[in-house]
Amino acid sequence: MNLVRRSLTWIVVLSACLVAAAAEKPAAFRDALEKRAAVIKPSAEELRWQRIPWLLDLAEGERLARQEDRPIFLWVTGDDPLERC
Amino acid sequence: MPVAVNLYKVRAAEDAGGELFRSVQRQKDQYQGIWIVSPQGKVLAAHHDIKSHETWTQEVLGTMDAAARTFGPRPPRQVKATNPLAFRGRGVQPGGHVCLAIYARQMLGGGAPAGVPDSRAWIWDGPLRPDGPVVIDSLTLDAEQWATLAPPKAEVGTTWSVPEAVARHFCRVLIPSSDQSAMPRPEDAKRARLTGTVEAVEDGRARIRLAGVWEAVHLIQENATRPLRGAATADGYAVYDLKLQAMQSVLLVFSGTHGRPNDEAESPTGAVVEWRRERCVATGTRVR
Repeated sequence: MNLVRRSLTWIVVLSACLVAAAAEKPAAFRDALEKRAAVIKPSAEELRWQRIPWLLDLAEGERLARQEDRPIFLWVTGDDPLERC
Repeated sequence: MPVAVNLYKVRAAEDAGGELFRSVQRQKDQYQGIWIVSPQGKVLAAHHDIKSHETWTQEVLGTMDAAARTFGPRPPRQVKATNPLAFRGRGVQPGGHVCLAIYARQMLGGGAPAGVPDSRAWIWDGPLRPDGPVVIDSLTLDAEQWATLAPPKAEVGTTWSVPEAVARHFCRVLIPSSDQSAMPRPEDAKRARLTGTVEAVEDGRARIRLAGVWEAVHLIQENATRPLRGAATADGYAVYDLKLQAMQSVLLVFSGTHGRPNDEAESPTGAVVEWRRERCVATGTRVR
């Protein structure tokens, strides 16, 4: 009787573990993926320049510069400066 | 007034911005870089050739100081921080197209794949880590292309392939060069396969596992003597809202190599493609 009870207990525990493992597997995959992504993605320090309120239209920049009477900081590159550059 | 523009677009522009740029370039002729210009259109200072990467920041600050000395003092500008690329990696735009955010890098470590010669093994030693600056990029998919990432059925185990014509667009992540002349185009793909599998359906959402493999050979400036090869596999996941019949998030992480075709000197690369449905909320942070 003890053997049966012990076996049933083990089956219940094992089943619970398997169910938990099955449920955790996708979450573990996502966690691992997000960790890999974090290694590749830029740090907040690398993206500080994005806090600058860049304008993407020089005509609008000229209008605002005249309105506020301050110079234009004009950044020009062979690609879109805020994108692949 | 910080303005960031594309050289090829602004120099051909017919508006006041194009006119100002052509005037600026006549006053201080340089291919690209930084010009600091008075509100009346006079060039106050400019910067093009860097002396070194170590002094680059100081060189730009020196250029700004020179312009400020010529123009005279102005009080700090009070302005709210804004995101000029608000849809990059976020939200669905009018018309249903989305802009996926891309980050790509040359990497070090992660373990050498088969066939790497001993002399190159050091590149693959140690944990995976960045090697140099990140390439920031994006990929816009129209509504029809975007719909192909959605599961055809909300049943666990459903597997489907994204059409190759759509998968080819992801080739741009394979070569982590900021210069678009080195960027593979969809037509450069030798292999482009992206599949999805519904791994769970819960709380009105389908959780999707993504997997893909890509290979492309791109000719720099269409020059047959300057080929670049990039190849990668990707793992990813996406969440699809069954009630809204709409994707909620996508994350793809690429792991690959790039170099000249048939060259043993290939280097490891990594890339991330990500998107979320919810838009950024303005922080209202003031910057000067």
